[in-house]
Amino acid sequence: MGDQSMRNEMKLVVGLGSVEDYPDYVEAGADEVFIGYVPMDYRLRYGKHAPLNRREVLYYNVQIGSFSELLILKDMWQAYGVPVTIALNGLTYSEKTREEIVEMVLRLQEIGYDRFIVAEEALLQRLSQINGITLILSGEYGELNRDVLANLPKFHRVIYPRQTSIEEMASMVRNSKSTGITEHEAFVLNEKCHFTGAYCMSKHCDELCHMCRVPYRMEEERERFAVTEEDSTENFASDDGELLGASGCGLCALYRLRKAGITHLKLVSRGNATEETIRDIREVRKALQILDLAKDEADYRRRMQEMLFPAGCSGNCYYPEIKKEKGTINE
Amino acid sequence: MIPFAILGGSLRINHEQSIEIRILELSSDGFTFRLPLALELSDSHPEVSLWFYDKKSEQYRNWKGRLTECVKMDVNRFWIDYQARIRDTAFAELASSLSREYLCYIDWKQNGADVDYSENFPANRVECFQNWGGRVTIPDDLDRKLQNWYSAKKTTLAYALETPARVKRFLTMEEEDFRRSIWEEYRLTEHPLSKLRPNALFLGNSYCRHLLPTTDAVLDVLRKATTYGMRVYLVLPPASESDLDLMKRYIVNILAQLHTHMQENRINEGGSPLSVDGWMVNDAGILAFLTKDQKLESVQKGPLMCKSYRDSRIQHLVDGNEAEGLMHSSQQIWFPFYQMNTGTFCPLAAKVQTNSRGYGGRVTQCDGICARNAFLYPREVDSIGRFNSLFGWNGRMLEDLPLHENEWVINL
Repeated sequence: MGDQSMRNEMKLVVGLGSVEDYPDYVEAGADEVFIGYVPMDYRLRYGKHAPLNRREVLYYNVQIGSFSELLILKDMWQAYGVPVTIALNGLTYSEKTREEIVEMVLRLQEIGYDRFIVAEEALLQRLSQINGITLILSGEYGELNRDVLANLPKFHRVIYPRQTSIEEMASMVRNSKSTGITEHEAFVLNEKCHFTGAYCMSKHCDELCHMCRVPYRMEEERERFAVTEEDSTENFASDDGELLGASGCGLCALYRLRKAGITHLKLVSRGNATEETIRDIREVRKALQILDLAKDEADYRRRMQEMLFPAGCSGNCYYPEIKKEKGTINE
Repeated sequence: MIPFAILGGSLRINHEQSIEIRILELSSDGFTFRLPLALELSDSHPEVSLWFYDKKSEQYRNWKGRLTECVKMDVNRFWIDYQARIRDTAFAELASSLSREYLCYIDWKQNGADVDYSENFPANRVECFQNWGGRVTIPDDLDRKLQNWYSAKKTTLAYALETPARVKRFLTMEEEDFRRSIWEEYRLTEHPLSKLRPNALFLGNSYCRHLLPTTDAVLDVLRKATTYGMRVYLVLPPASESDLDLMKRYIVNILAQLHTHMQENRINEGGSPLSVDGWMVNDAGILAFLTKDQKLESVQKGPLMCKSYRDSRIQHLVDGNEAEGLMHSSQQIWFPFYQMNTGTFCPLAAKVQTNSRGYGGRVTQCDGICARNAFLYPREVDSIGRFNSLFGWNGRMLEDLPLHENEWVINL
């Protein structure tokens, strides 16, 4: 029963946009949540042009809004036991804002928040000097290879960028043993982007759609391979919340991710509808249960697809090398 | 619940302490808010400061005052909700205005198109370049300013040789013809910048390893650049884990060739040895390899690594000191194109092969798709796909030259 040789349980990390959702996410099966927090005085000084994290929108609930809510959330954390991490994964800060962030981290530490996701090297360096906090390297840093990990200030966990193959992750896990990195996180669901987050300078703001969603044409369209006449439209990362993983899915890859040494799975959900996120959490948990019982990878994928995608999936794979094995993509 | 970013509050809970509060509901005569259990309010008329976001001005409007009434509404395991009443005309106006804006936003999000651009596309890259160049207005005094800048010490005017085609063009044409041919594509042969011979070249590509020059091409460029007295900097993209060893071999190979050339020069007692004047890298792994393993000194961070100067459009929307901080202390600026997005799983290759930008994977072999294909965008966004990336065009940089920077890299 199950592939006993690989039974290390991967934890599910879920984005939380609203404090009220915390109990529901925990009850659905989240092992950890991550949030964003932007103090009002920071907003008053810098507006949205020096974002603290990678959600620059104002008009919907992606950040845990107020300090009083952080206190409420801390009470919930103590009651439910599921830890909360704060994302400070802006790509770049000035010296002035960086020092303000450090002061904010110290204030947050006083009320019990000691886990932070960071993308900027200078901030990582600065925060690594503070005792008692756990640092997680965001995929937005751009840690594409093992030498990058080896030459950064010490941190506890790495979140591999979206466009990292499983084989690459496995190699980086193997080669990171001496760096002190004990946890490895990979994307599993939602919001797969055409571009690499670390190199995305477009704002995810209210006024404009994301640059990756702006319509485009391709010059010299006559050169296309493996495309039928019917395939003439772009398959955008979909807002169709009904299909699990429509905007990005790595569920087929769970077996291999676990084998590669991945310890945490990221479910992107900050700003998503609560009901959808609860559904997503439950489905990923089902996939993990199937994984525990599966004899091997083929068994896992067959059973998972039968249960979670009886009518087919979106095909929007986080790990297209798996899809490639089905013969869909020629590289 | 109203997003804190558009309506935030601060409540005085005692003589010494104020705390940020979340506004749950809003009306013209009050609002509801929430506090943790440990901060139960004793004052029924506390002072409050509210910040209302105004979309048009992108500023916050502040209202301060005492609550007319504050009543506990709901208590649960973790928080207490309060109903606050305010009788104040200014508050009522701000609340109504925000409510209207917020409802419009919700309506737009639910019913409007998230993507609301015309489908007014250029036909091809040529049209893009000519249109953009045609919109550049050259100020009368630009020539003088440019000459002053270029004659100052330690200024670098460089051209980027970012593709094999551009490298080939440099190698097969006289410098002046090469330079003119680039500006001709944009119909900007009269621009004063086009008349200045560069004193440096940036050879390579910050974004895609498939566009790196061969070792032979590197040596050929070095030879030719030497004849013009130009410095040459090698530009390397980030290396994925799969590509890391390959990139290291590439670097070692170039260094070995340069070393061999240097040895040959010593034997022949003549000629200048070929040398790379500097390296520009775009990830910390390659940076460490060059500086620690290869012990090279002239290594600088490239556009993808030195993030703060990538965006040449920073509009200085914060105060002057902060704007300088945002621009960092960089002395180098690449223009008039600026990078906005890069995909290490090349979206162009994915589109060509699968009809979807997002369905691609790591490209192990490439025969120059981006030489033949490019993503074109609606005219009003002034953007174009280049390599595995999306770039914006900032023609203003050709009008208001970045005279405060002393290293320019023209990436036409």
